Amino acid sequence: MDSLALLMLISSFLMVVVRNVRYVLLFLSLQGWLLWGLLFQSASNATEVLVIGLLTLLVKAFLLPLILYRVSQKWPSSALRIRALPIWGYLLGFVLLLSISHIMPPLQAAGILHQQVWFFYGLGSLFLAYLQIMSRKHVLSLISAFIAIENALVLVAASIAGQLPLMMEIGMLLDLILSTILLAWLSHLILRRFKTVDFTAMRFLRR
Amino acid sequence: MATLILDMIGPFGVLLLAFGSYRYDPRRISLSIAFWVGINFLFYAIRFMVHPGYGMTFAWLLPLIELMVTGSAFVSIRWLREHPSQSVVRYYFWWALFYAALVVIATTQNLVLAWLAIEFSTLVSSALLIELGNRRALEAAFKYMVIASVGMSVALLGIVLLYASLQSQHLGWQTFTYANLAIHHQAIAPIVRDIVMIMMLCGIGTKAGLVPFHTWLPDAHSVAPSPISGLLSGCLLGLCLLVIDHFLRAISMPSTLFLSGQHLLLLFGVLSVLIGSFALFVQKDVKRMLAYSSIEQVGIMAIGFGIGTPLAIDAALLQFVFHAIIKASLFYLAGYFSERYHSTHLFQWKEITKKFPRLAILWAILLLALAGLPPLGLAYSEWMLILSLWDQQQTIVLLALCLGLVLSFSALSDHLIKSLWKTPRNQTVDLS
Repeated sequence: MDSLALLMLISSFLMVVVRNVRYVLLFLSLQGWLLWGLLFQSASNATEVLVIGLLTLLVKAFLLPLILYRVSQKWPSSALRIRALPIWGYLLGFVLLLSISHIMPPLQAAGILHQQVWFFYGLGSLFLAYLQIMSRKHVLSLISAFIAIENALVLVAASIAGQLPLMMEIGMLLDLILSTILLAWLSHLILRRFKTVDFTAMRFLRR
Repeated sequence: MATLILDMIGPFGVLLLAFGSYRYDPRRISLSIAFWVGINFLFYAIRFMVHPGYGMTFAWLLPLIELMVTGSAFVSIRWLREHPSQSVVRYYFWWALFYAALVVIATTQNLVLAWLAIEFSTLVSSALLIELGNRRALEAAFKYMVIASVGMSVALLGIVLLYASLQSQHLGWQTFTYANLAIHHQAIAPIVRDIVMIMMLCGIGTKAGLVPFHTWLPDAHSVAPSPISGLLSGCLLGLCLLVIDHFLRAISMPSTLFLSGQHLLLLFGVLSVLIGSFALFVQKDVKRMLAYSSIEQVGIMAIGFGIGTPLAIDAALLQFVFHAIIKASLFYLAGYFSERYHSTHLFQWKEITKKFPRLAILWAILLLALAGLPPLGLAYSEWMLILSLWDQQQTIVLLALCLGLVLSFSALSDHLIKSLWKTPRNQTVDLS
């Protein structure tokens, strides 16, 4: 099952570096499937696992990527392209991944790391998702990064807490669904009003 | 939970009434909503007077929120009349959800529920920005949603670490009640507790508008409809800070790290006061000016909570109450003037003393109150804070606070004088 967690990290990396929004959405959907597999592996309560597992699969593997895909379908192909990741992005990503080895020992000493390998991959995915937020300017890429952050947090939670309370998981999922719907609506309006999907360009075009 | 459901009657009633505008005159619906919210406020105000300690740590908080929301509901009537393109149902739908989020943040004693409600408040208030549909609003909404949600994800990571440390209790959802955290926080390893405190402070601090996480705030608060700006600035920022304070007080212990918990709150507070007050000088857009003033005011509250003595906490709470009332009223008035002059630019408001003499007096009093002029409210709470800093011998923080207060007083007075008496360039002064 460590391979599933490794795939999470790889998919997060690919989400940062690919240059077409459709591929980003593909990897986002893949993360939903991977999380579904990981949740079954980590949790102990059968009923809760079933509920959360099914909801995760439904929301993260199908619903959210589909919503964003529907938005992208209405866009011209030029709006789907993403600029290349700058060199500083690669360097920062490398430094962030290296820093995890310094974060883990104190937490390990505190006795809260149940699955060290998963924690490494989870925190790595989280950092890469933050890197995507920092380095990307494409609106849909930013929205995908926002969902990837949530996915990575679920993996981190699974590695240190096994399973979160059901109410919390459901609350997080509802929050994610609402935010994705709003962001998708927003990105659709942004392209219509600004004729660009570059977030930094919006600053100069807003008046 | 039963109390929370009862407190939701207000927002639920608004939702029901809002859907009535499909059949009835929207103006009547707006008025009905305002009266419904007003009745709710009266209920909570009377309950507070009869049972001052009813059901929660700060029992005055709910009547205050209801008062603010009532003000917003009445201002919404005019705002909707001025913006006929805005769908009344959709406006009140998001408005009611925002109202519900504020009530949950104010009443809940559970950290995760507070987190969820804060995150929810981001989404529904962003929706109100998106509804405006203009370029400035869309850019502000996107920035607001992304930055605030990323900040809240940091807080969520802190919550996950907290749960991992207290998981052995097998309390599930109840692990996160402040009472439980206060009793069992010693079971959390010091290093984890420090990391969690930093994460919560930075995460929820982003939503509270603390510097350096404030970049979304001036855009979002200045672009939002005035009835919403009032609630965002007056209520939500302070409520987020209260959540941080509840959490810090629940798990606070002598810290192993220098920059953790209260120290960090003090640092962010000082930065917010200084940046907020310096930025006040260069603002020409009145709503942006009020937004930067909110950053400064949140900084003052953060300093009070950061010191943590009873006098300082009382000062911070008083600051929250006075700021909520003053700032919300200023946003509502600014919205009114902006509509009349078709501009939020302060210097475009020509001759407001002649055209709107009574409102101009109110504007002047409120702006002076915000500047901290004695004997108006904020002067009293700021004086209490200075006293507590003096008692604690926090000389550097005291000097920074005093500098910030002087700067913001000067900037706000300058803006007030210009808005009231600045002669338009294309007119000559009649000296006869």
